[in-house]
Amino acid sequence: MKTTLAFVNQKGGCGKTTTAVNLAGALAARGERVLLIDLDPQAHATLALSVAVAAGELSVADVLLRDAPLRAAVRAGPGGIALVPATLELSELEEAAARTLHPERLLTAALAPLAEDFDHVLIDCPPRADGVLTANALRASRVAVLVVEMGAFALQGAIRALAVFDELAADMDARFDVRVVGTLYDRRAELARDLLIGTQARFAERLFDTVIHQSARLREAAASGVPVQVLDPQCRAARDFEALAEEVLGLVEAPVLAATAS
Amino acid sequence: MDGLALLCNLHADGPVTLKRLRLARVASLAELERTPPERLAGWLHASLPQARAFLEEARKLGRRLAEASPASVARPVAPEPRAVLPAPAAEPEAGPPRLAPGLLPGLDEVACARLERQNVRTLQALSERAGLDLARRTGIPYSTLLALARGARKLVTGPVRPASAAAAALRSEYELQPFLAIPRRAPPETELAGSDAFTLPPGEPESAGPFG
Repeated sequence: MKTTLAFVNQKGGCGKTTTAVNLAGALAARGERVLLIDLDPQAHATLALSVAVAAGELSVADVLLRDAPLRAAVRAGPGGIALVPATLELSELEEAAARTLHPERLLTAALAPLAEDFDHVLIDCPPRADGVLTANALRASRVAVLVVEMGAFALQGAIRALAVFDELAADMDARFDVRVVGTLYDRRAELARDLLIGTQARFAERLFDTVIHQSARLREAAASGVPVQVLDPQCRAARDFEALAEEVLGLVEAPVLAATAS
Repeated sequence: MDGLALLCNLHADGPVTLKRLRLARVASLAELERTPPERLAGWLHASLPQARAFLEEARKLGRRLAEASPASVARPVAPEPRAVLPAPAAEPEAGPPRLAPGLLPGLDEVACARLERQNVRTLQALSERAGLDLARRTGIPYSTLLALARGARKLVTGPVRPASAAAAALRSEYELQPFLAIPRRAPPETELAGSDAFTLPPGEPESAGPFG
């Protein structure tokens, strides 16, 4: 396994799932073996890849709650993405965690047997920073990708989120690199441009060069249940994710930095 | 993200333009600024006016980033405010009102000391220099710094009076704009005309052109 990335932000609607799904699509389109784990009980990544979990089929909830092997829960999704789907049942993990020893290590343990089967594991996290699901994702990850919408309050929210992830890293004695990706960017809007300048000034090299533009194609892709590379590989959104995938591949060789927000 | 990538995201197509510039071995904003527009036009498959406009944006962004960099702490002093202060008890001496613990809600000794280390000693300076850069240098949270600056501005300008045109202009002049360190001018119509009307370069059907 080359790298594991967790897509995080305590704010909802900032593009975590869209980024995770379409980056997975872009990496898969390059021939990389990609596993996407939907760790959000809302199961939006599962829906975005038009995967349904029927009765008797395994999901990530079975893996974390009932020790089912992760390999058995892996499903083939569109665009060459392997997916571990989620169901609403996943939300029970928060409660079950109270009765579990080291509940934040469940995913790391479940992933270990698949280390040689995938080049990249992408984990779509729920929109909160303090839950056991996000803690599982961060502990299993080498890179925490903070997804920041280029809208009002984005910068303040991102700074707060980074502080929370720093604290989590210290609490968990985990070591992951924190990177930031801007999403929902519309360069015609002066506010978005100013926010990008502010975000660049604040995060500098932690901010990916690629910013994901606002795109109707991304919404259409999610509604169609495919990554944008399948829907329209020539569109701007597909190019954005292609560029982001190239940067992520560059991270593989880069050393892990301390998870500090400074 | 460096300055060059930022420029490409602000004024061009982002990854496509950045890739072309990197292929042409342009490593930084400074290097780009020194590039002749004719050469740049060739690299980006753009017209000469487009390349000139892009270079002008590069210069502007370079200035803006330099303004926010450590070397540019000393900024031109803004005109003294014409409004009268409400004369707080902690200000025994004449001259610009100096920062003191308790003068503003949230302004404690630690914050005063941090601001002083960045040469921010007066309410006026605080109201003018509050921004991301100062927040970074002082370690004072950005939102706290903005709140302090708002309080400072209120003290500097005094209680709100019925707005005459001049007073309104003065207030708007001192309105804090954290991401707008350099006052902007509206680009002339000639620069705007067709700036987004790029066509596909021949032989590259997959590209939307250098500027999107």
